[in-house]
Amino acid sequence: MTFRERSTWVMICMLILVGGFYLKLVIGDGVPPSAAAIPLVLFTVVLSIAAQIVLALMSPREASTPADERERLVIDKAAHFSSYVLPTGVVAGLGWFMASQDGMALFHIALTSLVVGQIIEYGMQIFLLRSKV
Amino acid sequence: MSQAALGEAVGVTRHTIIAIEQARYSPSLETSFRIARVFNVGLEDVFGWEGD
Repeated sequence: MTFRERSTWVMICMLILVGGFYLKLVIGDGVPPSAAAIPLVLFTVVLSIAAQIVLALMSPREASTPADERERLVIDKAAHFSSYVLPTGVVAGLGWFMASQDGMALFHIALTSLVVGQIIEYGMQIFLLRSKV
Repeated sequence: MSQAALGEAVGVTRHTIIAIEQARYSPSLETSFRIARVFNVGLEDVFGWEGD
């Protein structure tokens, strides 16, 4: 497994776990979104930086090598594929807001679209790295 | 020559060389020429195309 694939697996697992934990807090435990979102975003940023540092220390040569032509193509294709998710979610959220005037629903639809879009992008990268590009 | 050594010689990763060998990736023209030059052979001695 390449350094980039390991890095992508770490990010996708982290997003799924943190996203799931956020849903558990807000929907399951009734924690106000404003109390849960910012700390979790900060936690995700710090944890992902720490994880990338650990991965880089495990493979310093690979980590410092820039992406080659195949990896750049994988990154571009995955980003293109996932680029439809966020705009679709935001437009859906805006439509929901116009119909319901529910600002928190708009917030959650936009946030979910962002997270799902990133998960799809990472998933596509892993799929393309292992299959035919 | 190892896959890693070939990759380093042409500027791609070992996994990209593996993907080329397994026909999971078609390299750029520049990389293809670099590979052929490493082995001191022509492009069509290294790569082939069977058509559709």
